[in-house]
Amino acid sequence: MLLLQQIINGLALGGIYALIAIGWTVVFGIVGLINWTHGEVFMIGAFVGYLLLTTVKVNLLSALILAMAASGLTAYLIERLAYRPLRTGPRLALFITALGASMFLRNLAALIWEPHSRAYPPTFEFSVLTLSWGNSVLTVNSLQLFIFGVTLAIMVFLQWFITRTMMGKAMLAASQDLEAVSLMGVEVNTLVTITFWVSGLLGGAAGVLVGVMYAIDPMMGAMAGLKGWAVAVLGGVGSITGAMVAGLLLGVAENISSAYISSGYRDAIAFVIMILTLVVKPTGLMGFKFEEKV
Amino acid sequence: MNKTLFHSTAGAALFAALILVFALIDVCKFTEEAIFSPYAKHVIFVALVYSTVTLSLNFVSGYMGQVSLGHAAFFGLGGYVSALLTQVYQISFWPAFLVAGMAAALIGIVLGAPALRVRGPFLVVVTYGCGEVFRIVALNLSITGGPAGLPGLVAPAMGSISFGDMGTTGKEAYILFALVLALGVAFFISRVENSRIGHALAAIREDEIAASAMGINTAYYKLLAFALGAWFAGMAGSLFAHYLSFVSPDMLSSNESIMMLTMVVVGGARSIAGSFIGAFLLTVIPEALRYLKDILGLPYDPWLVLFGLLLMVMMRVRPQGLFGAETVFRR
Amino acid sequence: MANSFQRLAVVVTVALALAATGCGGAGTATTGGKGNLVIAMVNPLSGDSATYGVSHKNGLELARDEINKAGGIKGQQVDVLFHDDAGDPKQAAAGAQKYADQKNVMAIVGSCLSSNTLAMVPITDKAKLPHSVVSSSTAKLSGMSPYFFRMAVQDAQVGILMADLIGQKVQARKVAILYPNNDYGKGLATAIEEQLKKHNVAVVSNQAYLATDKDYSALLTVVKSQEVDALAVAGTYTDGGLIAKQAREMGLTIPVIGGTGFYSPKFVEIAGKAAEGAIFLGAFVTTNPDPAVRSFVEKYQARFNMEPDTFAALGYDQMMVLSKAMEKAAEKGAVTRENIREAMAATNYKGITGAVTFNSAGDWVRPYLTITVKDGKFMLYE
Repeated sequence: MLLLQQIINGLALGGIYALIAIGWTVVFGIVGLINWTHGEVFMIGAFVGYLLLTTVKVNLLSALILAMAASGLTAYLIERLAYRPLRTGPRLALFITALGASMFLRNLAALIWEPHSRAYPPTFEFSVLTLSWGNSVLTVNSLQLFIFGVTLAIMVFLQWFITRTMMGKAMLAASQDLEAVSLMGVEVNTLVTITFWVSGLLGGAAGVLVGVMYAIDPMMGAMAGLKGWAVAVLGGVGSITGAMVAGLLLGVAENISSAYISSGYRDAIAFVIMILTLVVKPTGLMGFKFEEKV
Repeated sequence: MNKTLFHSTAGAALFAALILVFALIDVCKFTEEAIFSPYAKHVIFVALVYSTVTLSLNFVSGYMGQVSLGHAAFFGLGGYVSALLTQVYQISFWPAFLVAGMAAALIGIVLGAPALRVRGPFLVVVTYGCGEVFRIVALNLSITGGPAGLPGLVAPAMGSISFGDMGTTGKEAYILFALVLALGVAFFISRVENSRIGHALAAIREDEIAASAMGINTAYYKLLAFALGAWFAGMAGSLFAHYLSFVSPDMLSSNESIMMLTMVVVGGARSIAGSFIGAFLLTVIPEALRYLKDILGLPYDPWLVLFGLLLMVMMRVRPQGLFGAETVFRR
Repeated sequence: MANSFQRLAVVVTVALALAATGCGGAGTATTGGKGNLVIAMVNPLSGDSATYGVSHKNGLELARDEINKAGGIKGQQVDVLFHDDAGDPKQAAAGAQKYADQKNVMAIVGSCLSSNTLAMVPITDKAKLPHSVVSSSTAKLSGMSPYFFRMAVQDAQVGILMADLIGQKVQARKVAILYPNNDYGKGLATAIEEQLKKHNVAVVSNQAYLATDKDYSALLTVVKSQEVDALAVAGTYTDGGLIAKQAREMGLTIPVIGGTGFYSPKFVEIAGKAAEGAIFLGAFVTTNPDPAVRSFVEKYQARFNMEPDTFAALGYDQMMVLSKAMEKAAEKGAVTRENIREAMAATNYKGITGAVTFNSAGDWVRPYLTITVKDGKFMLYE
């Protein structure tokens, strides 16, 4: 029963990881870039949500949508201003630019909003639900359900977008072969723009959810971003379904290892999983291939 | 490409002479008050240690093309190994220093193994992950002193005189030793560059598949590069830890790794002179900025924000770094 | 062309190196006005631990301004210099070295993190510079240098008091402990566990976590299954706040007991309703009816637009202690580092956080208050 409880606890967190991971995976799959600034986009979403809730005092749903938009915009601006000029250049230069942009944003945020943790104002009354049978008890609280619900809704929407809309289908195709898609008449720049918007929207949503559930600080992008990448790798970079499944897996794995091994090594779990995946089965769970052209 | 040390051996000699004068001029007591404060010597010492580290990372990432974002792991490992040997096993500094380097080299081989399987951006992320795992382990184990690390390390000594007792500020001996280490590593790398090993590395870097098609054992050379890079970094780490008289998990942080990579990038890959310049610039600029901040009375330290901008601007304006060859990066 | 660019790069580097190393120490702009007494502070003013550093700085500055307005130390004004160590021991060491070199720096305070302070003490000891901290709780610092004076809370003392609180006032029979795996947490947890044994209270589990963790549900689930009467948390307000919040979210209603790190308005902000009823120790609480405390709180609130926390209060007392030491030194003849050290060792000052004296190991063995949260406010616990 303890195990089951740990699993349930891990699902809400896992959903958040999945959202972050999808943001990484679409950018990598389509543009071939490890978007090191994704963690900061996530962080900006969290902070915009915080500011909206504390100063303008909108309701949670509006804050969520506005924060998502802000993050989407940030991702777009980063692409437009920092990445696009270098897109035809050497890939390493692009990566280092991403590194620089990430450092810049993170420390700028720390400068503007001081470096300590903040909590979202209480947004709704949570209630604790207990299910029991025999002499074992499971608790779930409505906050976890809310988070899981939002995550699920976003993913369902994303699936619809990918499979039913023209742009979405183009994105899916582009993750397999960008050149072919452009030969088919899809404007590459538009595709890239939309990809970054999507990754930003998702990152922003994850940021707000983390704010609701835990606490935020300007450095939160570092660890969360990296874990998101680990999840993307586990799921198979480029695969959205993979990211979803892997996210849930990591959330649960972290919880179980925290309880049974030691919480001190919690963050290391994500990295170890990522390294093992890359070394043992680089295509990840869903087997997306990334080939090195000769 | 720099075929010889710096632009010439004369350049190296000039550099060494400058450092010697800097370190020893106050010992000669030409003036009443010391010209260079202990603080100045501290900054130059740190720059020299990081020169060695930058050279070591340059060897792995610049010459081999294996961009590693976890290099601080070797640096910190060297520090921890030598700390443990001197504190727990009462071994004196010099053998501990050598063992620290070798231990780092061994770990370099161990970490290099997964690196064989991954390439390009994936390698960067794997090395980053390895570096973080190292740091988390050091943070948790009690033998490494946990988050506070291991304080109270002994200073190196020549015979019975400790480094800290030599010279006017106690830092001169450290500076000279760091200089010798940096020049030694630079010399080693310049020799390797022109040897068969160097040519093999260049071939692998330019086109790995073609190189292996030509019969070059890429796995061997990659591991060799990792091991050597780790060895140098480990020695630098040991020296640094004993200078500070403590070692802590901060030496292993990802920020350190990023800083080291930045030094290589700014200085220019595959340039020995560039490694020195990169290390010095990135050690000295934050201090100069802090000085500026105090004078101007700014409420915050602008370095961290400027650092990110520096990287971005560098990649637009001069992606090969200050001293790198024009063809450093290829698609 | 490439060559001349590179030559330029070399020249710029050398120039910067000279500028930064200041060729023997900076100009007076950074060393305080002429004729003023100078104290230096090395603290994290940016980065994760900045809140502590900034609070300490605020408290110190408030006291400094009061002292200066009242005429300074026998007519001499006091200046304070700041060095941001960003939570990095290397930078703390660099800062300590920089100020140790400046002959007009009379005393140094900081840092607030144990590892940073550990890096600084060998330097301040060698330079014979009086060094005081209001935070850095590791036992390793006791007696490390005759120039080191610690006004910080100490794990050994706080742990014992927490255990007494649990055993006697709360009267729990089974306890679970959660602690961050840093020096502070480990020290505190060990002290609590040992003292609890003396009260015959069973410590059912003692689990570590990373101070930067956000999600404690795994650990709390384990705690819940152990059916303990109380939860002792050896953390600070961020992790402690999250733990309290998540505990309530999973239906865990047992009392949460904390150490001095809990005392901060951020604890209530982060824990929300879950903060209600938490009990912890502190060196200071703003609702203390003591008139000296009230006056300090009002002044601090007026100036910084927020409530002072423990570090601010301690910083205020620390500055007062230093000023008294400088006065005594001035009476002795000259304000020198050595005279200040002697005066510090003989300190006997009634501050807003208690009566300050230092024992032979340089530690201040102080009294603590027991505090609880009622209606979102901190109150003395009866």
